[in-house]
Order: sequence, then structure tokens, then C-alpha cells
Amino acid sequence: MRVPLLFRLTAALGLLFAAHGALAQTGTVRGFITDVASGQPLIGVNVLATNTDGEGRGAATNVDGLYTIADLPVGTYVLRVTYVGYQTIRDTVRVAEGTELRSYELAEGAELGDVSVTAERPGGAADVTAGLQRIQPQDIELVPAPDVSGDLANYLTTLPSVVTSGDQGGQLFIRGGEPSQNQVRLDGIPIYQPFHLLGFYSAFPSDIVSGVDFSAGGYGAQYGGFLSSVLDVTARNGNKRAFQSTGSVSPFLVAGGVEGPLVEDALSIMVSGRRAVVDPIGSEIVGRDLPYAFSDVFGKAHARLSAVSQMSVTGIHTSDDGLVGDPLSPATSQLQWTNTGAGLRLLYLPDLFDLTADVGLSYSSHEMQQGAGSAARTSSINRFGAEFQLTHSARIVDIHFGGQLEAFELDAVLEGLFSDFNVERQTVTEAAAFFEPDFILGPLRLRPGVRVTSAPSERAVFVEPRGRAVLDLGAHRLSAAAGLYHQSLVGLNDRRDATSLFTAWTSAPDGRTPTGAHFIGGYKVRPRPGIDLAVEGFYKTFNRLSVGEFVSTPTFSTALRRADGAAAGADVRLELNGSFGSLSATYALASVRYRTSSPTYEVIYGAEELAYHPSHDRRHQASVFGGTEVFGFNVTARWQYGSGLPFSQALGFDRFLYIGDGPVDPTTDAGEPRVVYGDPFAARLPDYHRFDISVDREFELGAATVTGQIGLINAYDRRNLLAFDVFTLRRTDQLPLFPVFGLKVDLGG
Amino acid sequence: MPDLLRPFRLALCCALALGLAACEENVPPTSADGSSFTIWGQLDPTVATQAVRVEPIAPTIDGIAEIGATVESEDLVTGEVTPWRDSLITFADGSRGHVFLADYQPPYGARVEFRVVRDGETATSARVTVPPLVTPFFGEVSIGVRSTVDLVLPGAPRVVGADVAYDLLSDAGDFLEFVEVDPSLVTSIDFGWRVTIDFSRQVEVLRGRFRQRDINGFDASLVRVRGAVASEEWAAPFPFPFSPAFVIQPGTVSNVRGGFGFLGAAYAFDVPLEVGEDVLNRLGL
Repeated sequence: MRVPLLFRLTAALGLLFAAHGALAQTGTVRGFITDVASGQPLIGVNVLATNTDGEGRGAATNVDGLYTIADLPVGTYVLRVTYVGYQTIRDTVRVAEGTELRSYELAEGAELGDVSVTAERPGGAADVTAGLQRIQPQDIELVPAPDVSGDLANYLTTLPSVVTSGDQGGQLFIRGGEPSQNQVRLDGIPIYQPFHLLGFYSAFPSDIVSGVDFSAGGYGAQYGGFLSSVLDVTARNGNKRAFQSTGSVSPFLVAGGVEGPLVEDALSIMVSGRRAVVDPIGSEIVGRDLPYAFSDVFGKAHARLSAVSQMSVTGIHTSDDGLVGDPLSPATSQLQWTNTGAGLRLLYLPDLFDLTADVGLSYSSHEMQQGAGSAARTSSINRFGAEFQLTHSARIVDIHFGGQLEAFELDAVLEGLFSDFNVERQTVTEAAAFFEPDFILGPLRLRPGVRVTSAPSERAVFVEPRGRAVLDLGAHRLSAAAGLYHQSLVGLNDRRDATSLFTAWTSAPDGRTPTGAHFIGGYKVRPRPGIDLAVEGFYKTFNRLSVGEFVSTPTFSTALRRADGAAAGADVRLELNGSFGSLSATYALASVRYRTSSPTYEVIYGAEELAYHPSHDRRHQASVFGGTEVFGFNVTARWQYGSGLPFSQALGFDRFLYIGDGPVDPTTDAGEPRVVYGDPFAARLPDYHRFDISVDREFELGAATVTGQIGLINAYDRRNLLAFDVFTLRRTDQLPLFPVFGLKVDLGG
Repeated sequence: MPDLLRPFRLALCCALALGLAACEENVPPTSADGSSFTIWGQLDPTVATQAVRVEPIAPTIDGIAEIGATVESEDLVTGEVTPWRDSLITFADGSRGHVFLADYQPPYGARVEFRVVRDGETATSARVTVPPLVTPFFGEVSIGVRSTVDLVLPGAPRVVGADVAYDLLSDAGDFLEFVEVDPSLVTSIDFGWRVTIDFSRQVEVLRGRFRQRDINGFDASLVRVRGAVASEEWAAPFPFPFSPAFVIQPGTVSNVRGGFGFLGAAYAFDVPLEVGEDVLNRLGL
């Protein structure tokens, strides 16, 4: 039933495209825009085609540097290619029936006064459209980091839609969703735990990032399988003109990388790697154990097979090993994980129906372990995926159509983590198809879509409508997005303990596939150049989640219970850009609430249903960050605030005498010490805030560019709490005042 | 052109000021202030001195040495109030606890309120009904695949902790051994409670325990069935049996108000197994 449907859709589209091509007296201009010095694709370049009557149509390049201006009436046009910081190119093109390929290389050099097709500056904290934010490497560099190079994770923590439980653990909660509900992809390769143990770092240093599409909700039909958000990272291709290398050292990590052309203008390779040295170097500086070891290695080869086809191969491996939580309890706080991924991507522009074909194959593997020895808990996931996306461009619509096939192998040893659930080796398959036309109707852009997913191993079919609308009125922009979502593979956690980060991947327990709905509405205004203000509201539902059962004393094991949740909130983002530099300020107000039930709650709490705010319900969050230049030094600063996260406060301690076997003798029976918890997550931890500042400067030393950096992390030494053990009264704090100094050397390029 | 650098400087100063204003906050680990208590014990109508453990809900695991409260009980039928005296006991494990004692023998069937009074107010209390006096008797012996005999306790509100005591004979001398009666075989009947003794199972358990030891049998005339006639408060919360993992949860099986724990009323029964020698032989004992 499903395959014929797929064929029918494909055939219908083919006929539509064929009929369209046969009837039209129009042509299409498309091509790639790259940087002349490196051959890198340039994202967001404006290309405007103007005919002899002065009528113009335009397009902006995507992450591959590809632009398409379709259905131009046959005739002569002047193409103008403009990009901030680059010299403008003008070219005359004779458009005939069919497709005209025009690719350009832009050279750096400001040319002010050019008209921009798109009204907004790409990137920036305030550049958000119904949950979607495009992040560029220069955005990442605005946030002070513990070393010279930035990292995507460090930037994400400044966003109002992202909540972290602290600077350790690598857990990002996005608009109410849990970390396992975030889809993270690198060149189409899913990465299941991409954030390192130290919250400044992820598998994505800014040096390898070309662009990032971050959807905090309401994402389109192209994406599926995750309930809360999508972080879609596109890696740089590597320099196709010259070899360049880089190396850096700091108290947190050492890093190095090399890239260059294997075949000039045709085949480039890029390799980079980082390794944490915070233990022991950082530990010596702050006089405190910082038991965090992590590393990542990335490689990418990119080939221009022809003028109309490109292929890339990407590989990544990350590794983390450390103690999160009480270092005196290594059985529960020792955590290790690895990610391994490889992918192949083919981009092809067939001279047929103005199609763009994007085909990908990928393999991902993720392993996690808590504790050591025979009592260790382990979880592993192996995934193989194949996907394709076809895009047909026409005058007022780009039609996106694609499919995805995924196979997963899951395994786990939970060692009694859940008393009523265990994971055995599982094989799960999913097939999905989506259809998503993107209508451009003057200032209004409509993108309705539908994603159909078949999960044979669950005997379920999910039909999920999605939609996005953007009304761009120049200085004002209104946007909205909505959609239905499901998640077949779930990451099970015991979130009763804030430092319990072990995640077991499994198919939905008892067939309870989590589902959800997103609704997002936003308004952005640019009252004058250099000032952007954006406001967004959101509402998300999370149904059929699996959460640990609450009991009022600590237990090693917990039962799984169904929970339904909802998250709602609003955020405000202000961004100022000018000759002084840039400044971003954000504030978010949010609430997350879960409802769950269990027969035991009737006995313990007096009602079978229990409503609570989960451990990631941060009510208020704010950040101010920016950069400026002072006497030739680049200064970046960031202040971050988060109101206290919920925790289960103990009512107190007493002793327990077991009366189940009959009368007790109070004069001889000492009983067992017991902690008595109050209602789950009813109390709040102290607020979190921190100020970081960094100063760096580049120097030219012969052929090398040397960047020196000094800075302070947690400059006023705020004692932010990560976790608190009510039994021992031991608190585990986040990073103290941490002076940083780094050095980076770039060669070539 | 306005000075756009000004808001940047202002924001930076505000951030610094805010941060410096509060560099550390402590977490209140518990909300305990020593004003509520946990109670453990039972009233026994067969003894003249009662003992109940009273434990303050403490802010740390080390507990509170000073209890700062008095304890009294009131017979809700007669209105008689009995003061209890504090006794700080050091237990075998080295821990210490407050055990309150009273020269008081509650009558069978009495309704009693136990109160922990702090600053003149009742901080924690529990009400309990003392079970009536019952006279157990044995029912018919059933001999078959499972050989059983019933001990019937007419009028008992509840029976807990039933077991069977055997006087085992060995070369090293006689000794007592107790085999628990499966809780599922302790059931309520229309007019009281019934303890069903499954001899097949009992013998199986004994054989399992002493497989490696030289046991010469037991003295059939000294077999006794023991347990406690308990008050209605001893009911396991639906739908759970008395599982340690659940019963340890504060609030379960609790009749305590303003605190935690459990106060019941119970008295022991200990009756010799009154079945003839021939029956014992047929039972394989």
C-alpha cells in the first residue's frame, strides 16, 4: 500500500513537471556561488535577474551556494550577484527555454550601496522565523569561549529557546523538549549525543561549520523521527585553492586541523581534531578536580564531479569520559559515550524539469556507558539511513519531495534501572516520504507539507501535516509554523536525579510512540538599520512520554510510567549591530508541565494523577552578549541568567521500622535511616548566572596568523550549583572562576 | 547617529552589578524544622508497659538529639489521659533514638489517640483501635496433594506475622526453627481471620534449610502456630502487599497525622498444633 502511494505521487509529480516544461516559454537560471579564495559555497548570496524593462526577480543561495531563478520569460537579463563583504558581480545572460547554468566566484571587498533582495541580514540572535534560526560561524565567534576558536554548543546556550542544566553534562533542553528529542545532523548524519561533557563544547567547532539551521520547533516535513527540535549542521567543504592548517592550545583543549585541494578546484579534503586537556591542566589552574576527557575528530572530502554535480564524504568520531555529579559515587556519576558517523552526499542538477536532486547515505553509531565493570549500564544504537530530496523550481513555487529509509539496531544493559522494563537487542525500521511545496506569493511565503511515515516494526503509520507561513513586509515580518510529530525511538532517562544522564535508546515502551504538536508565532521588526527586535510565542505538546515513577524515598530502580506534557512560552530578542560591534540581548519566559499517573500515587500523594514541572522547567532565562573592538583588540562578553530549576526537596530524615512482618520492638529495633521527599520537583534550586569575557587579537608573523586570547570564565566566581545530594549534603558546583589563555596559529589559506 | 555603544556599556555594567550582588546561594536541603515526628510501634493489651518510638523529622541524616516534645495518650472511650516518659536508647548499631514508655495497659477493644505535643500543640498524632480478645481454634485437616490445616481466629480484625515453630532434633541438641506462613494463606473470613498452614510447603522449606545438616526430625507435640492479632490499621494499602520497597514510602500504611510512621495495636498468639499423632503421620511429619 505504501510503495504504490509513493509511486503514484512520483508519477503525478513527473507528469506535472513534464506538462509545466512543455507548456512554458520560459527558462531557468541557476548555479553555484563560491568564494574565489577558497572555493567554499557562500550562503545567503543575493542573485537578482533584471530584464530590459527593469523588472527583476531574485533568489538567495542555500547551504550549497546554489541559487535558482525559475520561469524567467525568454529574453536577456542582467544578473547581479551581491553579498555583504564581497564585491558585486554583474553579468548579462540570454535566457532561452530550458536551464542556463551560471556559477560565480565572489572576491572579498566591500561594495556598499547595493540593493539586497532579502531584507534581513542573515544570522544573528534576532533573526528567527517561526522557530527557525540560521546560525553562521561569525555568530558563534561573538560568544566568549574558553579557547580561541568558538563552538556551536557555546553559542546555543545563549539562545532563549535553549535550557541547559549546567556547564557539565551536555544536556540541551529546547523549548520544553528533552535532549533525546532533539534531532542533530551533520551533513545529514544523525549524531545522538553531540554535546561534550563540558557545556562549552560539541562535535561542532566553529572552524568546521559552514551554516546551521536550528529549528526550536515547527520544523518542516523534511525532518522526522524526533519530537522537539532540529539542529541541522552543514560542514565546510575545505579549501579548493590552497592548503591551510591551524593549531591552538588553551587550558581546556588542544586542537588542530588541515585542509586543502587534492585536485585544485575539484577535490578538497578537510581534517580536524580536538582533545580536552582540562584534566589535568585546567584542574591545576583552578585547584579542583575537573575529571572531563573528551575528543573529536572530523573529516570531509568534497568533490565537484562536474558543473552540475557534487559529492561529499563526511566522517566524525567523538568520545567523552568523565564524572558528572558526585565524584565520590563513581558507580552512578562515571559516564562515557562515543559517536561515530559517516555519510555520503550527492548533489545533482539534472537538465530535466529544473530539478535539484539531493541523495544521501549515512551510518551513525552511538554508545553510552554509566559506571564500570560488570554492573555498568550500557546502551548502543546503530543506524543506517538512505534519503533523497528532489526540488522542482517554478515561478511561484519550489516543490520539495523526498523519502527516507532508516534501519536501527538497538541494544542495552540497564542493570535494573527500570524495574518493569528492560531493553533487548532490537531492530527497528522506518520509511518516510514527504511532500512540501514552498509558495512565494509576493511578500507571503507559504510552505504547507505532509510527512507520511511507516514503521513496520511498530505496525504503525503516521501522517503528519506541517505548515509554515512568513509574511515579509520589509521592516516587519510575521511568521507562524505548526505541525504534528512523532518519535519512534525514545531515549529513556531516570530524571529523578539531575545528574542521571545515562540515556537508553529503545523503541517506544509498550508501543507508546510519543507524539506531539507544535504551534509557533512570531513577529520581527527592524525599526532602523542595525536594530532588530523579534518576539516569538510557542506551544508544544508531548504525549505518551515514558518517565520514571516517583516515590518518596530514594530507590535504585524505578518503574516507567506514561506522561503527557505541554510547554508554553515566549521570548524576546534584541540585536544591535553597528560600527561599535554587535550586542544581543534575549529573554525567555517558559513553563513546562508533565502529567503522569500511577496507582502508587494514590497512596503516596493522595491522588492517582500527578502534575509536576520537570527538572528542565526554567521559568526565566536571559542573556546579553556581544563583541566590540577596543584598541585593536577584539573583546567579547556574555552574561547569562537562568532562574532556578525544579528539584525534589527532602522534607527531612527519619528512621524506618519495617512493620510488614508484624509488631516491632521499638526498644531494640534501631530501624533504617530514611530520607523523606516532598512532592516531586516542587522546590527550586538557586538561580544560575555567570559572566564570561574574552579578549583576543590577531598578529601576522610571516606566513602565519597568530591569535592570542585571554579571558575569564565565570568572572565573578558565582558558585552555581549543578547537583545536590540530600543524603550527604554534598553539593556539586559548576565551573568556578576560570582564567583562560589561548593561542592559535593559522598557516596558509 | 545615536551612540549605540551606550546600551552595550550599560548592559555590561548591569550584568556585573547583578552578578556581584549575589555570588552564592545555599540550597535548603530539607524543609524540616523538627516540628513534626515519625512514630513507630504498637499498643499491646497484654502487657502493662507500652513502648513507642518517636523520631523527629530532622534536617540532616544525623537526626536531632533533643526531641523538644512531650507524649501522651488518651483513651477515647473513658477520656483517661496517660503521660509517656522519654527514654533515649542507644541501639546495637550505635544509633540513638527516643523511645517513649508508659505504664499503661489498654483494654481490648479500646480506641486510643496517641499524641506528640510540642509547644502545647499536638504536632503529630495517631488513632488506633485495640483488637478484641480472640480465642483461636483449629479447623479440619485436609490431606491430599497439599496437606493443610486451618487456624481460625474468630473476631480478629487482622492477623500479621504468622509462622510455625518447630522443635528440631539434632545430635548437637534440640533447637527452635520458625517457618513463615505464606501471607497469601492468611486470609479474612466472614467472622474473623484464618491462617492456613500448608504442611507440604512447610516441610519443603525445612528440608531446604537443613539439607546439609544432620536433623533427626522434630518433636510433633511441640509444634506451635504463632502470630499477632492486629488492629485494622495494619491493612496493606491497595493493591500492594507488604513489600519492603513500597512500605518504606512515607505515607503508606500510615494512620499518623502531621508526621510519618505507623502506630498499630496488636498482641501475640502462640497456640500448640492440636492434631493427633495419626494425622501427623498421614501428613508425613
